[in-house]
Parts: sequence; C-alpha cells; structure tokens
Amino acid sequence: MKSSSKFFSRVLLSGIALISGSLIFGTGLPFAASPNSPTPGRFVDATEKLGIHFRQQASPTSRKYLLETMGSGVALFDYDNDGRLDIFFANGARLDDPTPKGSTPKKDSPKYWNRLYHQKSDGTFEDVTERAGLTGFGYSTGVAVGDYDNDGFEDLYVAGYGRSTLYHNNGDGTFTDVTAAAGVAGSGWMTSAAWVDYDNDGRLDLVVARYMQWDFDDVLCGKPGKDGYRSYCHPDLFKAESVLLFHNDGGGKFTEVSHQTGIDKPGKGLGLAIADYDHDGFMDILLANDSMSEYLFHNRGNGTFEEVGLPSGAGLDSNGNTFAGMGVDFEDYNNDGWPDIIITDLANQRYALYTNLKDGTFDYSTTVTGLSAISLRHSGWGVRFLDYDNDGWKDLLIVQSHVIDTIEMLDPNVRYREPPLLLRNEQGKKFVNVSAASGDMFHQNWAARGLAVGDINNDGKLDAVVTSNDGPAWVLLNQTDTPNHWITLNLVGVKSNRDAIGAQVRVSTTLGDQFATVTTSSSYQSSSDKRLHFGLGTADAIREIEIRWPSGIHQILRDQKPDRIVTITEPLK
Amino acid sequence: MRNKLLCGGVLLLSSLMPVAQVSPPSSTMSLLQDAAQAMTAGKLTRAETDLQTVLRTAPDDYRALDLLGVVRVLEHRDVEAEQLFRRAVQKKPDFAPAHAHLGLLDLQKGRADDAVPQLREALRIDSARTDASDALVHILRDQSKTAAAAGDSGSSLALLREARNYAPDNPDVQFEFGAMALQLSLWQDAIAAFQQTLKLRQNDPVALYSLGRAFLGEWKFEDARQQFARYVEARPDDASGHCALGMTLAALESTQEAREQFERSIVLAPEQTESYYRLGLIELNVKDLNEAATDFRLVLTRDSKHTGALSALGRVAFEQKRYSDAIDLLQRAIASDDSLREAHYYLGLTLVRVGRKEEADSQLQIATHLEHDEAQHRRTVLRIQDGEGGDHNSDPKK
Repeated sequence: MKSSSKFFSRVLLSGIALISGSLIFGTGLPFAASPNSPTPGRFVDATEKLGIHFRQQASPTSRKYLLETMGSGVALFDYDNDGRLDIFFANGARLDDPTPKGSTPKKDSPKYWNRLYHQKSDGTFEDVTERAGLTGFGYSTGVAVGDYDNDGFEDLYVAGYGRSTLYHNNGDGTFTDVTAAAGVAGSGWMTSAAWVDYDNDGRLDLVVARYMQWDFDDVLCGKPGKDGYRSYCHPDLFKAESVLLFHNDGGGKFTEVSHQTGIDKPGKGLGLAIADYDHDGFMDILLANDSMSEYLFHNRGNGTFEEVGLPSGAGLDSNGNTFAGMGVDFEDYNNDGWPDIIITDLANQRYALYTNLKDGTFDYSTTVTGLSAISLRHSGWGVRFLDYDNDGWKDLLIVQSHVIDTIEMLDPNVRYREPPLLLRNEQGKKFVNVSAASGDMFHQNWAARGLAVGDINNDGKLDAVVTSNDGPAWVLLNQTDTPNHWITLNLVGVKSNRDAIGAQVRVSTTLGDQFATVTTSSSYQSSSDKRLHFGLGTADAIREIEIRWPSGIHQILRDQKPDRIVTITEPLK
Repeated sequence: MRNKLLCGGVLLLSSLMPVAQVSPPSSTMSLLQDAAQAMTAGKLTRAETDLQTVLRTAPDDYRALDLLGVVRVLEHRDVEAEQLFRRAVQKKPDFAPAHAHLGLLDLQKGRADDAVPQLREALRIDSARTDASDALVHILRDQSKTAAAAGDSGSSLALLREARNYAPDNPDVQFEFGAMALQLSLWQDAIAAFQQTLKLRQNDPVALYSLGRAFLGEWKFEDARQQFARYVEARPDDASGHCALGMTLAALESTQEAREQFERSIVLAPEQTESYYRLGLIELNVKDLNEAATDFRLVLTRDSKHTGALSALGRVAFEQKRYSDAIDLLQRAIASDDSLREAHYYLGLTLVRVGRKEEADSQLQIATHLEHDEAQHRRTVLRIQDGEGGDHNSDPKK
C-alpha cells in the first residue's frame, strides 16, 4: 500500500490513505470519558528506597562548553528477561578546563561510568555495571534499546560525543562491545538514537541524531567586559550536522546508508521518535532540531526518505517561527488512530503539539489545547505521552530546565531549574496542568534532561525515571489512586523484528478505541519500556486487540481480560 | 542665550574666587572680583574700568581679557567680544571659561558647528561647567533632530548619546535617546534610557509607554505588561494604552484579560483597527475562525491595506481549507509587504495542499529565511551604550 509518489502527490491522495487506515483500524470509536478518573496523579520519589544512587557528571567548566549542559539519558528495559524493568544511565566524562580541541573526554574515574541497575525480585535495584561490562567510553549522551540480532535479549546503543558504542547482550548478564565489528561507532556529537526497522526486513536498523559541528575550541559567548560572564553559545553559531542511518545487514553487521536513503539533510538533532504517521506501513522518523525547522523524514517505502517537516506543517510554530526542539514524542493523543507530535523547547517558545490531520499534514494545536498557556514560561527536555491514571487518554509528563544555568541574569522571569510537569489529557481536546497536586517532586526544581517511562513494578501504572544535568536521577513511582483498568502488551515479533518495534496496535473496549505504536525511542536521549500500556477506564473487558505487525501480518485478538501483562507473539500469517 | 552668557560670567566670578586665594598679586584679584561683581549688578562701566586697570599693568591677563569679552557681549559688541575671548584662549589654552564663552557666543551668532568644539574643549578642561554642557546638549539635541528628519537615525542616535553623557540627569535627553534607540530596535539601550527617564521623572506616562514597547521588543512580556499597566493607570482613557496592555497580556497567554483590554480600547476609540486585529488573532489561535474572520474583515473595511489583517484572513481561509481564497489573500498581503514571514509561511503551506510544489518550496524557503534573519537580528543587536557587545551569543533562544 506504500505510495511511491512524492509528498505532494501523497497529500492529494490523502483520501486513499484515510481509507487504508480505516481498513486496518476500523472507524475508531471515540474513547469516552471515564467517570472514575481522579484529576491529579500521585507520583512518589522512590529513588533512595529502591537503591538508585546515580549522579550524572556533566563536568562543568569555566569555559561553558555546550556539551556540559546537554545532559545524558536513561533507559528502562529488561535486559535479563526476568519480567522486571532494569535501568541504564548514560553518564558524562572528565572535561579539562580548558579542554584542547580534538580531545575525547575520558571516563577516568568510576564516577563517570555509565550505570546498569538490575531490578531484584523484591523490587529494589543493584548496581551491576562492572559485571555487565557497561562502564562505557567517553562522554555518553543518549541510549537506545533494541534487540538488533533478534536473539531475545535487548541490546544497547550508547550514543556519545565523538564515539558511540553498541553493546551486544550476551544473555548471561554481560554485554560485549561490538561497535567496531558492527560498524556503528559514528562520529561527531551524537545525541539521541532510535532502533527502527525502516525497510521492514525483520531486522532493526539504527538512526542516530547528531547535534552540530562542534569542538572544544568553542567561541566565547555571554557578556564581555569587566562585569561580564561566559554563557553557553547559541546553536546558530555552529554548522548543522546530518543524521546517521545504519542499515542492519544481519550477522552483526551494519552499513551506513545516510546518504543513499536521503536522510542526511543537515540538522541540529536532539530528540528522535518514530511512527507511521501516514499509515502506509513504513515507519517515519521525527527529528527534533534545535533552533531550526523540525524534520519529519517520510519513509517512501522504497528504502529512501524525504524530509517533509515544513510542508507537512510540523516544522515550525503557528507563526512560522522556529524553536529550540529538544525532546519529542510521536503518539496518538486524541485516540483517532493517527500519531501526533509533541516537541519540547525553551521558555517563551511554547511546547509544540502537532495534531495529525490524517492527510499527511499536521495542525499546530498548542494554543487550542491549552498547552500554550501552560508551557509559555517553561523549558522542556524529556517528554512522553503516558496515561498516568489509566482513563484511556494519554497524558503528558515533561521534565524541565533551561539550557543556560545563568538564564536568570538574562531574563529574571525564566528559571534554570524547574519542576516537572504532569498534564492531564481531557479527552484529546485540552491538557490541564495537574502537577501541583500530583506529588512533592512536582514542587522540586531540577535541571532535568532525560526521561524514560515504563511500569517498573508491574502494577499496571506507568512509572518514570528522570535524569538531571550534573545531578542525581529520580525514580518516580506512580501510585495514582484509581480503580481504572489497564492492560500491558508485550509484543514479540517472529517474521517482524523480535522487539516488534513499529507494530501498530488498536485496543477496543466499550468506551472506545485507543492506538499505540511499539517503540523504545522518544523523549530526550532516552529509551522507554517497549511494552505498550493502555489505560481502559471503567471498561472491564477488552473487545478487540488489533495488531498490524511490521511484517504486514494483521492479527486480531478478541475478548481479552484487563489488568494484566500479556505477551503476544506474532502469528505466522 | 545672552542670559546664559551672563550667567556664565557670574559662574566665572565664582570660579575665580578660589583662584584668587592662591594667585597674587592681590590687587589684580581684587580688581577682577570687583569687575565680576559689578557685571552681575549691571554696572558695566565700573567693570570696564577695573578690567582696563588690570590690562594696563598686565595686557596678557587671560582672566581680564575673558571678563572684558563678557562685558562686550553684554554691550552687544560681539565682534570685539569674540576677539577678546580668542586672545584669552591664545594666552591660556586650558582656560575653560574662555572656551565656554567663545562657544556660547558662536551659538548665539547661529554658528552651532563652530560652537561645538569650543564647548567640548571647555568641558574637557572642566567637566563641571553647566553653561557649556547646557549649551552643548542644546546643540546636540538640535542636530539630532535635524539628522533624524533627514533619515539619518544612526547619526541622530550618536548625537543623543553624546548629549546623554553630558547631561545624564536630563530626563528629556534620556527620553529622546530612548525614543531613537527604540526606533532603531536597540531595545536594551532604549530600556536603560527610559528607566533613567523614569528615575528622573517618575510615572511619566510617555516614558512608561515607551519602556513597555522596548520590553516588547526584547520579548520581556511580563516587564512590558507592568509598564503598560502603569500607563493605563495614569491614562485610563487612552485607547492605545489598553491595546498595548492587551498585546502583552495576549503574549503572556492571559487571553481573557487581553480580550478585556482590547474591548476597552475599542470602547474608547471605536473607529480604530488595531484592537479588532488583535482580537481576531486571539480568536484565530483558538480556532474560532468565523469570529476571527469577522474581526479581520472589519479591519480591512477600514484599512484595506492592513497587511496583518490580510495575512491573518488568509490564514483563516487556509484553516477552513478554502485554499483558493487563502492564496489570493496571502498573495495580496505579500504584495503589500514582502517581509511578512507568516504570510509566506501560510502561502507555502497552502500551495503544498493544492499540489504546487515548487511554488510552495519557494514560499517556505522565504519564510524560513525571514525567520532566520529576524531571529539573528534579535540576538545580534548590539548595545551601543558603553561600546559593549550584548549577550547576543548566548542562548535565550527567543
């Protein structure tokens, strides 16, 4: 069903695309309001109690190197298949003050190590970094989880400045650095990464965002003079850098195909997310760019991409302005079956929410959904749609901080450290800020950066892990008091990639339909639980679960019971 | 200016007093003091006698020459006065009063260009001379106005900057500098000048309004809101104040309060267009498209070339998928003002939807270039004050 026509023709053919979507997902009943839903959430800081003692080392210097303010990400994944989510933290490295041009920062002390925390059967965590062989190299930024060799064990790609690392999961609690053999070391300043099977060949390919052409011969920014100060530089001062795309050839080998696929348009990429926004059966890639148009790489289905951010309406804000795109998510917030986009940015820019118009274009919906007023004074990094109260509508969790630690000197109305935001989704029409009543941490000022979401304690409520720049991490357990039902689906691909990344799922109850795509990528430099979580509101039965696997196989399961984690294996046809 | 010169003579007298205590012979000093006192009393004959007495014994006494020049000015014998001042300067080049008096005489004779170097020199030697600084500031402000009228805003601002240095406590000079900086989008300079104006002249409504505008230019909406709120309090019946306050409230997402201000502005000035336009933008942003269109059409009936309303109405048509209308309206807006980024952007989006790819690409590229230029401009505007670069390289990302 993939159209080989270019974007503009596709827009004209939007009616056909709509019909295609309807055939797969039915008409998509609107999801009804759930009368049992409490308005606020209840998240508690369980970091200490669970034994997490991670602290990201940004290595701040007097030079104000940009690298030291961009933070590092986090991953929530089950590396040993014990059914419990584990946590991986990327970490910085030592920076000299000044650091010579061309230097590669080193993790020359354990405090710079990346960290793997294994979740024990009692729900607490233990640091298994050394045993796992994941101490790391250089200044680590992003992390992406995916079973690239389909062996049933999740592998790790750790992005970094100058060098990234692919760790193969050996299945015995250890990992092996296979970067060189795989050919995925990359180059430059790599930020977020995403696993995606862009050609539906059953093997996960790898996309790596790069920020810009930057080295430690950073220019002086800030205010000169006797009462001056250094500040982090604006990205406009540096040249853009292209995304890297590595095709998985099988046998542990990858080939860089950035140019051949047409995805090498230079950007200033920080966040990555994937979804099939036009329902053509091929995963598209969204790149959140800093201070330039956001990029939407439309997958033509023939092994190439076309960048359609601007013409699709998802490149700029409603006034045609660029913004500092950082974190991103690509999910269906209004339960119409079509993936929408959220991109976080800086204060005075407003977080950008783009609603999918189902014809290959997007509508900037920030103002009409109330997000404009909420986000005006905030600066966001990690972001995820998540249904925290299981009412059937995906809410928003956003972790925040400005990028400049001296921003108060430039603008007293803006803050560097900020509390996170929890925004309740009112039936896909409005977002309401419920942060104040949702837990103490929503009153704490953090220099937050990374955010990963998943059901850490398998209690049917989505939890979160947050990292901060040159500071601690937090594990936020969701203890929202709600009788609402839920279901979590763990999809296992057979013909498709084993993680089922790219599978599109519709869950139907008496209250309506919901949709989601299997992915580990989104947010900012982070990787979330690949399992799909659906809040079901008051519905105590699931009429239908419809899955469109990346292989093209179409599966429907009927009359499923809620309030459990279900593993669904891809059928043979 | 004649009175100022007289005043200068009195000042000269007072400045002579301490000199007299250390400058023998005492008889000369006594005569100079007596001459100065006689001048202030209007007894020019006695002053003349004293000064001629001094000059008979000391023909090169620069103080006597200078004072005699003042006498000549008061006698309207300007040519002789000028000769005496010049002789004084020749005998004592770092004698500030003679430079000041020469400058003042030049100014009096309408030779402002000649006056400026003399007054500057007087102030270089003695920066406390208010006669010289007042005169110089007067000239600089006049020259600034002339430069501005000729369209040379840069020169105008430079002249005011110099005037401001000589008269930091003059609220008029501060305000004029701020106004010119505002005109040149030098927001930080304008803000500093208007803040200084308000320190010197508290609650000056025009300075409050102007400061609000400068904060708007800096995207400091909360600061702008505070100034416009004070302005509206000072001038509650001024429609433009309510409109400006409404704009800042809208930027701060206080939509309902903004709407109230625009409506108040309309009540005060029903024939205006701006508040209707701003109300329309609020309605457009919340997708109340019919209401927005009504407002924009009203604006266009009153001002058919209102490019903002044309562009916004084009955006309404785009949102309503009336693509042909959208193209027409947006093209009309661009024809009136081709720097309308938003019009190019929505024209590009519209052309995408009707399949005109190349034209769409072109419009979107223009929009992004305009946006980039605007963003760069916001970041690279230098503070000329103190000759320092601003915070232009750091990353407020606005």
